[in-house]
Amino acid sequence: MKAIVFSVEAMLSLTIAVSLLGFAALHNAQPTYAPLYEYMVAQDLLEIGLKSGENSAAIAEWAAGSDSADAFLERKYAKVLAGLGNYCLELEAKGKRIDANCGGRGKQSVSATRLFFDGKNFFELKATVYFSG
Amino acid sequence: MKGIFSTDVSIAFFLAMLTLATCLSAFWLSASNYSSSSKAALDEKTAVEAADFVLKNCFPEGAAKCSDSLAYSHVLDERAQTASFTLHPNRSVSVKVVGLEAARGNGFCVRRPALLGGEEVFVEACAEELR
Repeated sequence: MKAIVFSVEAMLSLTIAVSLLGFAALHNAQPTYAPLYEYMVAQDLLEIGLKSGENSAAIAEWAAGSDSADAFLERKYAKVLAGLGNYCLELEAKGKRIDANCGGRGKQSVSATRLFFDGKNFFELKATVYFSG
Repeated sequence: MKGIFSTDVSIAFFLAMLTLATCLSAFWLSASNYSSSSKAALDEKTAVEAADFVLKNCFPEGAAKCSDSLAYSHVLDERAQTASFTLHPNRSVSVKVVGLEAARGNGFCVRRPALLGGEEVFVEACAEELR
């Protein structure tokens, strides 16, 4: 009886040890550079918006309420994102928002912001990139 | 009494062997996991760093447009379109400027959006396994 009790106890300890070791073995502790890269991409998307005359004019018009600029930016960013991978971009400014390439939005996201000058006023331009982990 | 003792010892021995086998398997699994993921992480790091370097440094070391010692990050020099940047002597990473619809290169590749002559392009860095 005593032996069986000890064996059950030992088996319980072993089960817990196996679970812990198995978890440790399967858990990938190696850091990945993917989040850094996604963050760089979010910054890049803002940069190409600000540093191109055509794009920055469209951003200024879109923020002012133009529908044609909205469609132009969506198309433009969707084309860039198609070449990058499975990313979805959400661009926000002055309470307005456009989504590009957002068919299947990933659960993880990174955001970046820039101060944008439209010729009269400064406003904040925010890009959020969604991706699957 | 003797019978109970020998059963206890046998079970203890069996459990000890099982624990040892589990530890060895766990170690082997951890080691192979670490080896493959660290190799992938190294390729990833090399490609990310190379693309960033080329994007932010003046042509010909990088691809950025420069004037009066000022680099315009994300605005590429026209000459960078046909250039190829090899940053490591063993050619483990290569960087080039590609169009939006270009196919991906070999190895682990990262792409950074940039502007060339007002048009969107990618600075693509591909890292291949180090030899």
